[in-house]
Amino acid sequence: MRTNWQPTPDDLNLFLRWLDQDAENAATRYESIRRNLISIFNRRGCHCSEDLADETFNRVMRRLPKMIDTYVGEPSRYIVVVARNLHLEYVQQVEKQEPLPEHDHTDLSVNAPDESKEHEFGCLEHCLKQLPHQQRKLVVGYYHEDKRAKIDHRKQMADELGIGLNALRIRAHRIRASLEDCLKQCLR
Amino acid sequence: MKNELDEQDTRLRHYLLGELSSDEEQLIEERLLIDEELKEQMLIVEEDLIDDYAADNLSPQQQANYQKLFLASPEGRQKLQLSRILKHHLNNFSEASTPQPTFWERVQIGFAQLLSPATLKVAMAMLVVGLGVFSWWVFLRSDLSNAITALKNAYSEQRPLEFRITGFAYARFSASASTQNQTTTAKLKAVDSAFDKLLDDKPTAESLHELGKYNLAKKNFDESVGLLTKGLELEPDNTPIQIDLAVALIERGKLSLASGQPEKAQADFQSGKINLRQAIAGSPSSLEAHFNLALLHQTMKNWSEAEKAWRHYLTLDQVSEWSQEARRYLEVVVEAQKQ
Repeated sequence: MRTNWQPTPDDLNLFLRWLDQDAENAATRYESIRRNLISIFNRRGCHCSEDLADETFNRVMRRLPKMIDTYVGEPSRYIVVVARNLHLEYVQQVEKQEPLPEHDHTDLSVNAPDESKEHEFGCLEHCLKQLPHQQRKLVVGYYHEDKRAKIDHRKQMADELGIGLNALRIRAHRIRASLEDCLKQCLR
Repeated sequence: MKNELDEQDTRLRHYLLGELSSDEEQLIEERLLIDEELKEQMLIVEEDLIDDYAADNLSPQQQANYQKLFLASPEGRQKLQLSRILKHHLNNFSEASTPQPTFWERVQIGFAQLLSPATLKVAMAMLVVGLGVFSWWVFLRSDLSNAITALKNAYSEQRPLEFRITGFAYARFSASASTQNQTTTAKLKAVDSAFDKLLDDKPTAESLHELGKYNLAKKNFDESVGLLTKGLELEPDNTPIQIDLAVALIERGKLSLASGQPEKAQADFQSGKINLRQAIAGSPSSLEAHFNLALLHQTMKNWSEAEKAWRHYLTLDQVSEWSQEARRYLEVVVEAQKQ
């Protein structure tokens, strides 16, 4: 999948200038696009998303000197096209290889032994304690499926907080993200 | 608004399940690379999808797609595992077993409850008196504080720019320069002398920021850009400086546009947009950054982007005076698209 070609400092500088004329902004943009490419490859089920993101950048850098003067539009458009072509190559290569053993998708904590469940519960309790009380209350309420329909429950929560449903959803997502980070650390 | 969000959620859900055409997928991915708001929205939709999978709420075909796409990567499997832990244990987490607030949290909650509508007026009166005393003390404390206080006072009745400068309370904006001069000239003299003193001190990110804001308010945009850029060099992740630098760039761009230099204007608008996006990435709930981004789209006549940005702003702020102004702008933007 990876080519042997590696960018020189000049190739990298040209690429960064293409992303943004300001060096600092360009570096920030580079990192952000790389992160987002990794997420896209992950979501497509790739096993080596970081490598694929770097290879995408390498291929763009390699072609950039020839097309920079004539290319019109956002760099992201071109980068995505290169990434998508690379993904097709990746899929073809994976298909040629021996198939990996199927994962047992049910074996993800639901059927975990009691000991492990206790550990999970302990971690969750520990991580919830790290949150301020209001956030704790919100996340437990948001994901707690009461007897009432979930949607009604969330609507009531939003009303109580004086915010819209989408704002509540965003709040819950941000709290959940920090809770998940803590859980990952604790369960490691 | 709700329908638009629902539509976007549905599209993102189809994207995540690999149910879109190749062209539609590509369009979404182009935006995902650079649009942090869309990325967050997608993470939320992804959470819902994971929860639906964990709860067996997907059709057999969707389940198969989900397994093929999500569960092939270690990250996808870990997300599912975390979702199952949350679902399983949070459902068992009754209010009684929720960790109780700490002593300090109880104190904070107590204060919050104390400020009920009935006692709010009394509390607000005490707060105003307290703030007056505190402001007086702050005024004496240092040159920087003097300058900041004087600057905010000068623009307390009418703000100098249509865009939001960080830390300024709401004040209406009027495009009429003469009205502004009548109401603020006297106060601005005090601001000038307060800021003059700052120039002799060794610059810090904070003092460069305040000097930058001062020049911004006085519409010395080149000076403001220079000062705020230096401030950002000292503290690259300082969100308020990023926002004010964006405003200085945008205002300078508006001047360039008015003087027949569209390319220069576009360069400043783009830099302003990048700074605002970085500010939003660092502080996703920054109302000032979202307000200014929406107004920038409007200034650039990107009507659909502006409409989207104002609607998003109004999901974050529904009650302040800024939100009333945002609603008026939204009406203008919607009207502009009809023409």
